[in-house]
Amino acid sequence: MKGLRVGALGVWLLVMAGGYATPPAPATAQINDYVLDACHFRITDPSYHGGGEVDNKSSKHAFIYTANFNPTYDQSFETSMSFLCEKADDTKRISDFSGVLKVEGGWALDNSEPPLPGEDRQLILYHAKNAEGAGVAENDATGDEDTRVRTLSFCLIRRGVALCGGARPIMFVNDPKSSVQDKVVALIDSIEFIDDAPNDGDHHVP
Amino acid sequence: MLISPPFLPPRQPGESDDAYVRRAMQGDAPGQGAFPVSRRQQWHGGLHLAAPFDDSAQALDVCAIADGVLVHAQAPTPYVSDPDHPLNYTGSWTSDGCLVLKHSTEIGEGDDGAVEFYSIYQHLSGMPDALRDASPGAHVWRKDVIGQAGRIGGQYNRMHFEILADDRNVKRLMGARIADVSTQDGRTDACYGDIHFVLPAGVACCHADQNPQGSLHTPALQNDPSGEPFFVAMRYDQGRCTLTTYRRNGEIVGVCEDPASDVEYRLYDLATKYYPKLPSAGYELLRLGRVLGPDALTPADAPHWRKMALPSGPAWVNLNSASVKKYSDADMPAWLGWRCVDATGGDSRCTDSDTLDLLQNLTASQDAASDDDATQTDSQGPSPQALRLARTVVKCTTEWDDSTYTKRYAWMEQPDPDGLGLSQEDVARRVHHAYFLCFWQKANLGMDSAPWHFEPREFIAHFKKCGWLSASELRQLLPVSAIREKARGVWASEAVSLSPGVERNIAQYRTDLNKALRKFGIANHAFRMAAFFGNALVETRWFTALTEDTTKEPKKDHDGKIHDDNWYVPWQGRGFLQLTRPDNYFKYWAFLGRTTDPSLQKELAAADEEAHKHRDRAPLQDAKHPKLTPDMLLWRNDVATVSIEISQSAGAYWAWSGAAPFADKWPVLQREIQSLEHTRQVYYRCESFGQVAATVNFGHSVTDPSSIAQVNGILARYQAYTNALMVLSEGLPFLDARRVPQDKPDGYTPRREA
Repeated sequence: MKGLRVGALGVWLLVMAGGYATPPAPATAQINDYVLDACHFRITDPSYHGGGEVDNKSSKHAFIYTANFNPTYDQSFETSMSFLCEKADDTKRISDFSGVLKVEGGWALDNSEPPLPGEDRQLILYHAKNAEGAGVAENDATGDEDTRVRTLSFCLIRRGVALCGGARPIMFVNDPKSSVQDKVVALIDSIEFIDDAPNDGDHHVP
Repeated sequence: MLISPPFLPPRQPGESDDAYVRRAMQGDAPGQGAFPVSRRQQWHGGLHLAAPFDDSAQALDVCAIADGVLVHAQAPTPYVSDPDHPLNYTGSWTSDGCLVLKHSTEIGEGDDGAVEFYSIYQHLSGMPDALRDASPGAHVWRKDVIGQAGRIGGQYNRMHFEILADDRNVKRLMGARIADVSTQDGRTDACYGDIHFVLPAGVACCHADQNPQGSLHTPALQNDPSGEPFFVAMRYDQGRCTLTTYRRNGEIVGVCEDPASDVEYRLYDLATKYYPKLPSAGYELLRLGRVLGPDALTPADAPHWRKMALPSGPAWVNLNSASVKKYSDADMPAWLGWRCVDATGGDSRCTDSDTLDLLQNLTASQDAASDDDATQTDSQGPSPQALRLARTVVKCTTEWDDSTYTKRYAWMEQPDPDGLGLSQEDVARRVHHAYFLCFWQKANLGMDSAPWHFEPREFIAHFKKCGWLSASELRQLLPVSAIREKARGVWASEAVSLSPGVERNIAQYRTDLNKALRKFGIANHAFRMAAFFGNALVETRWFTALTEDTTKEPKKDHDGKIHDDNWYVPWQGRGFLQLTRPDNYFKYWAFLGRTTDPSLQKELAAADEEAHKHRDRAPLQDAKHPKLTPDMLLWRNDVATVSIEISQSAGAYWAWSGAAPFADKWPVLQREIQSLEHTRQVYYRCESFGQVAATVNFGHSVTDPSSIAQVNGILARYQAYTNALMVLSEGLPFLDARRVPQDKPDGYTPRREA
């Protein structure tokens, strides 16, 4: 699958996190640019060392990112994220993919299908570098109780495109200490759309 | 596209889709409601069908042929005996209930794979109140009852049934009409059904006894001496492979069947034997006659020898030769009779000489037939003449547009021999009758009044071979609920929801899943599809997880030993059928032509055995196997994250595990009851499907059928299979509590999300 790993136009930067009484050790932030169809964006990965790749080999192109967001947790696990590039005006698709509806003045949970017991749906608002968006965090409500996990869905909208995706798992339902929800949300918030991308106009949203 | 006939009689065990469609759609005859030409050699855009009867001599209801939306509904006028009533124009009553549905679906990928067509149900005597009162745009689902066949000129239980499409969609439905089929291959955006090869005149062939494939010696080739091109159809069915050779005019030269009755089931073995450098591409070559990709055949000119009938006798031809062109049923090949006739220039009469010749030949052949079966729908199927006439696609002015009435029928006022010499009074009555039935202006289909008309029976029989699933069709495969053993002996029924994650997975993986189903011969067989999804849905937790959840903590048993249910981690299940354990991953990588170290494979096999024996994942941990390369670790992860790998790994596993022979068996469904916490749940057990589940879950079928009960989540798999049979097939019997066959399972709730 070497052919897939061509999406990153990355640079490595050293950044200093501010606001601490005692300056922390420098963290290595990984900043990578990706081109996924008409979505050209940059992700800042503060310290998760996740692997990101654009899958252009499959029929539906996707950006795939996998990371262990909480390596100190005693039952280490990887969270897999998958992003799709969609048309911003396809409101039904955006709602289907994110679990939220655009309403006057913001976003609301799409409860057209009533929540199942234990689903614990939560509206998440995103404030990415130059895009806004929303999504839902919810628990598996079916299957073996011991293996249920919490997942995240979202769409970020910028001009004519929507970057929609999800993350699974972001928590073991039976162990809230395992949660990496805040870190995943922060990673999504780090996304910056690059509007002046070369050949930007040539990309199409399938 | 999923499509059904408008009448759904019970299916007979072992009956093919083609035979079922033809049995369900009868009643027309030349001059009497036939397509494309009926009375007085006028174009007739549909078929007059007679509703079949059920066991209690009741005419079957009319059902929607595909999912769609309502475009037009006209409730039937109540019967009156007044001979002057326009609907008594022919001397007896003609029903005027009418429904028009618009169907938007897919037959392949990309823009040209998305198609729209309309179905018209005319002369209905009744329709459900919900439809009568519905507004245009209301959803109608395939197999929903939409009315009752009425009367046509006094004949009871009759319906005029029509299928239309506009210019753009006819191109999409039929593919480009290639003038010279010997110069290029057919479409690749859609590929289904039989595979067709165009052999050039004088094709190189050899008359050897054995397949030259894999032979050390170059076979002695000679050129076919007949000097004409041939057209060869390759069909896989129930394990067999048959090649039928045609001439350009559709005449059959001969049929050659592979002597191995299970050759289709052994395609994986043949691909690894004949195309060892990249068996995956070789498999596609054997299945589809060409490699649609993305794998590339290695070497690119690797031969594909097949034995076929030629006038000089059976001969082997290399079908991967550049001079042999490749097509599929998706191209609606001209040599099998598919052709388009634009008849918009004239009046209602057919003047197309080819059509009239076909009609004359059909009439002559029927006159000559000793059984005098006018419809030619016996067990042998339609005659070649009938088939070619049915594969005529005609662009002509619809008979349902009153604004074109004069243009179409003015000729009737002319005296013999050019017209019928109708009087002014006759014309007035006729016009009044027609106006009662016309709906085109009201329905506002959004296309001009000269659409393309398909012969409905042939259209449905043809597209039943497609099997490409739209997003909506794929969603319906998810049952609305499933039962699960929550704790030992405690069962619950849980809702299966369409979460945002499921919607994204469907959007991200559907095209590659459709391609894998096509490549591995699953797509155009409803029972295979149902067996595949009956397992894939459960394996992926209803499309939510493409990797197995292995979050259960290892447990210590009473004597302190660790017991880890997920002892095979990090080689846990990934992909639609959850490829599991190192040997399966390595087998899959070999199928993709990836080179791995044989000693590593042995090492991991030993570690796997050790881990299994002690129920402990420690021996399989990557750190213990330094020969594992970074590429391998990525390949392993890709099976859960990269769309094409998620689907193709499942198809490959299906192929090598021998699931298809069990999936092909007629499903014998046993009604069972499972007690839940507060209620009881009916489900349908099926042994042949259970064997498929065993191949998926255990890696092999079982000799003792009772051990199928040990398959993980078997009851949910039965439920998913039953639901998939309902979505993908029709006419299957489901016993109710009194052991009476019904057309749907007890307690069945279809998923109805558009």
